Amino acid sequence: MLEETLKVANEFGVWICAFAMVALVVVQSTLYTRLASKTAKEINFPQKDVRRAFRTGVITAFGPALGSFIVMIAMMAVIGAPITWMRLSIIGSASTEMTAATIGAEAAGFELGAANFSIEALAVIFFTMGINGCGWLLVATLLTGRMDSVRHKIAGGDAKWLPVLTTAATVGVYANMGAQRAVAGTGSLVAWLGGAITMLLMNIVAKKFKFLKEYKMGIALIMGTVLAAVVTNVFGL
Amino acid sequence: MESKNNTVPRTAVLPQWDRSVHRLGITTLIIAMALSFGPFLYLYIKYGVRPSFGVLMTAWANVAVAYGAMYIIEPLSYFPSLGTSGSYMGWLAGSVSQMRVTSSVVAKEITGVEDGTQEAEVVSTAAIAGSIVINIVVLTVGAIAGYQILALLPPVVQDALNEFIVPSIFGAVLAMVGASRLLLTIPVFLVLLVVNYGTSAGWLPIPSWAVLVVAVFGTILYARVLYKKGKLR
Repeated sequence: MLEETLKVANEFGVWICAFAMVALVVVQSTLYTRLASKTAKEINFPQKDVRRAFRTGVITAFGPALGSFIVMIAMMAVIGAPITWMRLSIIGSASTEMTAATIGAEAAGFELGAANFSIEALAVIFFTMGINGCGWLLVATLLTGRMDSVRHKIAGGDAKWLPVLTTAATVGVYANMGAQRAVAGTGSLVAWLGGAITMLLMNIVAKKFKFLKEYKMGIALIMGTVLAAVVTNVFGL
Repeated sequence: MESKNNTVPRTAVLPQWDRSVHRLGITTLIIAMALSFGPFLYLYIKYGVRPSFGVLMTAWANVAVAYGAMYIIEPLSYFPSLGTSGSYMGWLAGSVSQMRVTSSVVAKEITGVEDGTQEAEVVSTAAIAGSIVINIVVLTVGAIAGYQILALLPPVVQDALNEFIVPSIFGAVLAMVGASRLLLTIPVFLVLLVVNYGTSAGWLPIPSWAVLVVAVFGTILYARVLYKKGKLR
């Protein structure tokens, strides 16, 4: 039964559903980019900087995008390729989606990957992943406008504080994320340190070689990853 | 951050920008919510599969308990880093901490724009869009040719891709944002190192969403104190 269910999960119809969602994401990005471009013209901000920003996004995100590659393949084996494509293209990391799928399967009385996994169980996990993602979508829909007006109120009081607040929030988030990973194991710790130190070095280097600025993140990422791979493999940690 | 490029003008965020951003964002997110149930409805239409209402509600309740706090806390916590367009794009496309905020922060830094300006909004939007496009490309390649590519990768590379890319990103971003604010960054990181060690080792039984809240709002409070004392610009 698992085999038949996986066949259904990989059917063309599911690919179409997935395509619709992925297309939506791409369309949204395209429309936002166009809006940014148009607004840049209105405020006399150079288009070349808009393009540069876009390019920076592409370069910076390439490494992290590869990071989820392995997990994606694993996920595809369990729940099918199209739904994996769909769910990873939108809100919800691989671990979140797999957890949601597991919860859904359990609610239906099944186990992911079990031999008796039925189409009904598949429907339940499709539903569960979908409704879980809606949590973030709904909150973002309802609250983003409100958070914006709160931000304007804060800016109204002290314009200089706003960028500091933004940076502080970013520092808080990344310090936490980094700390979480750093305590996870030697390899992760080395990777974290490698990324951090390389970035500090790149800050100095890029002052001299300005063209490297866009690649700072990519280089730091590669160095951190390679260092961690070397340390764990050479020293067997 | 590097010293600000003094030749970049600083324009206040235009009201029509805000309006357009909200309109586009709300529309696309509502469509996304509807499309989320596409695969489920497909199975119903083609195979008549109709799981019982009870099972569906149980699944929903369980997943809401697991992630409900995150639905609210994450958008709130990341809003300062993402902004409005970034939020609509980020909460649709996901991968906020790894790809969206990262791209936005790097792009703003190298173009020399100042946070809170229309220029920053433009740059952040373009950067996040770029990150989404490359992400989708990689995912699409993975969905189509993933197995074949995986077969070509030696285990050492697979491990590296799996385990080390993410921590190195986080180290790099913290270094980039925090290097010029060590008084803020270092104590915060050390405290969080201890806290996270505690939660993972078990002697500090705090749920991860609570740690995130404390991390973000604690750092903001600490920054406020430093700012008032003139020790932070």
